[in-house]
Amino acid sequence: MAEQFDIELSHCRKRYGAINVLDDVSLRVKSGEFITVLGPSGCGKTTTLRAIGGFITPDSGHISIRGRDVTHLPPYKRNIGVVFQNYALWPHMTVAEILGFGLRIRKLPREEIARRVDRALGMVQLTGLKDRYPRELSGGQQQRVAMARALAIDPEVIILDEPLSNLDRRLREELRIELKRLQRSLGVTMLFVTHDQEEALSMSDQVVVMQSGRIQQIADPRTVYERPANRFVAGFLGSANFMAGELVQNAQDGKAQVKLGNGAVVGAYAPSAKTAGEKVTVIVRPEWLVLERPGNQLAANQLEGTVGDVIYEGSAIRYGITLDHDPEAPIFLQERSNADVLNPGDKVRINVINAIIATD
Amino acid sequence: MTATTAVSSGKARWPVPTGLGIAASCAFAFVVAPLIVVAGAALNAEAMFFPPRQLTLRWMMAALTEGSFVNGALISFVVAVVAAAFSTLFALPVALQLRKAPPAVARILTLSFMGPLLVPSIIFALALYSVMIYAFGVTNLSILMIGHVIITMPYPVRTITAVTEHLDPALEDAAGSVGASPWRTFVSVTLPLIKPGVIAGFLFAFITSWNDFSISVFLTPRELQPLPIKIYEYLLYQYRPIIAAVSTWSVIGSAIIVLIIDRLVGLNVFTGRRS
Ligand SMILES: Nc1ncnc2c1ncn2[C@@H]1O[C@H](COP(=O)(O)OP(=O)(O)OP(=O)(O)O)[C@@H](O)[C@H]1O
Ligand SMILES: [Mg+2]
Repeated sequence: MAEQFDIELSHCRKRYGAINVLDDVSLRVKSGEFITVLGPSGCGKTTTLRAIGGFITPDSGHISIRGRDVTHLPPYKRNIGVVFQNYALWPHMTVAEILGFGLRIRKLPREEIARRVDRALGMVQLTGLKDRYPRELSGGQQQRVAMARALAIDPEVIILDEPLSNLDRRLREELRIELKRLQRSLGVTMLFVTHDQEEALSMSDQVVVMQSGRIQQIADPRTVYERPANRFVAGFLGSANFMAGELVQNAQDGKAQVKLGNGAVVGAYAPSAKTAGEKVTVIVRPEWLVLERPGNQLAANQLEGTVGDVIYEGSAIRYGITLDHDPEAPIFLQERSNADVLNPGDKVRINVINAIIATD
Repeated sequence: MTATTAVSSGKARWPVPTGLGIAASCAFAFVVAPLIVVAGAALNAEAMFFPPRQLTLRWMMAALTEGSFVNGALISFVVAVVAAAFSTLFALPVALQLRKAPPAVARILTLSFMGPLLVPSIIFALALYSVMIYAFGVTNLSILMIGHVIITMPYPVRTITAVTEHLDPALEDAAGSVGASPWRTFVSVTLPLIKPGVIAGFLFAFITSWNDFSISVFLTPRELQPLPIKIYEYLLYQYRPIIAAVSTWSVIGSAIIVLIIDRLVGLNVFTGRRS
């Protein structure tokens, strides 16, 4: 028997006028998984979520929830909890009425409704605010009510559209942990839309990276960060330096040796087979570069350059460095801030400890 | 104590009347003067004068008991309630549908729903009259109501669209997501949220119908004359303060309704902006 997925999109397409907002989108979410859809503004994240929720119908393709084809079902027949970006709490209802609304529609007995409203409020730690109206709640509390409303109906899956993006940084980080903990303890399947890579990397079992309506990569956070499928993914998640080089020998089993412009040879991960002599671009994350105080002999994987910008970031320091062999393409290097601080103009030597061959 | 503060703070804010201030006061006087004259005339003892020679509330009382006027008011009231109810009921789906149309289309359609305001109502009444006579050979109360529904529609369309413009569609999506059918969503979420616009539209339609003369003069059956026609006919033959008193009561009623609308949604529903 084929494995059953909680959410399954196969080959979904949606056009608005001339643009393909969803271009052959397929993804599968297992039961209990937390999956994040990540991408720049306008890439089709909300559209994907709205298609799953039933607020729009894809032009072609299929959507199923727990093996049931829901492609043409209206939202109210889907049993999916939705958390909207601006919360969309009904201003004329109290918190208890908001949470109970879906349960009243299901014609549950009054005591059962009260019990489940209390339980949902307990889950998001809002007990005692039952009789407040949304306008009497803080942003963070409104967010929790929106979450509780989605939980209260006991949905098959929960989908969330940038639920934390209207909150200040502190609260966002707090709620991120809380939300993840809640998801894990309930074992509920969640699909979370965000443009915040930190959110995506820290919360997800799987990250779906989208660009212009197309899925660029689906993988666990570590893989999308350390083994990005292409240049877009590498550049979108975290920061990335791009350097030109040439393959020293045939790339095999993902391993390759690349000679950079100054003759330095670095070990790199190769996502696909390549032959010796081929020109390639390697991706090097700022923390894969390590400062080496100038010594006597230049080692095999070392580069030389001059410090330009010095950016203090609290826990880290970021240096902009102009390479001697390629002054046109300055790179960034990141170091823990408790190390000695360099000054603009200082000469440095850099160890390249990791690299990935970029594919388009 | 409080009075002094109020006066002095008022002085501080308006040290010298500016040109604009004077112009505004003139405009205000211009609008309010007729109301004052009518109300003043209603307080005369014998014939109508302004300012009144001898003050009495006799006519104000008499206006409330004079059978013919009470009867006219009753007919006006029934016509206005029915017409306003229907025009509001028709305006609701129009406003809700306009919200889903592309903005350019919505703007054009909204303007066309203002159409009845642009056609001189006497011309419109004449047209409706000839059509009805041609079709049914008579006029009756329901035909009068149809006329009133048409001329009052622009008000609820405008007040309801003014409110729906600010209604976040996500609120309705959210209702769908917890299992509410479109009808249930309308009843439990949309309607309560646009209620102020609906009520204001109803009341505006009511006042418009209540005060209408030109439609009624054509479409009114002889034995069922609404108040404005009664007043007009009375004036053709007599000239006593009771007529001013009747008008004063009518103005008072309308003013109360306008105040209610202002409390509900603010009169700026007509500019589309909300405070
Ligand atoms: N109803 C619509 N009509 C026309 N174009 C639309 C409609 N909805 C979305 N689009 C377009 O589809 C594209 C994707 O929109 P979508 O809302 O899915 O982006 P998003 O990834 O959620 O972006 P953001 O991060 O800004 O929320 C955008 O270019 C948008 O302009
Ligand atoms: Mg979006």
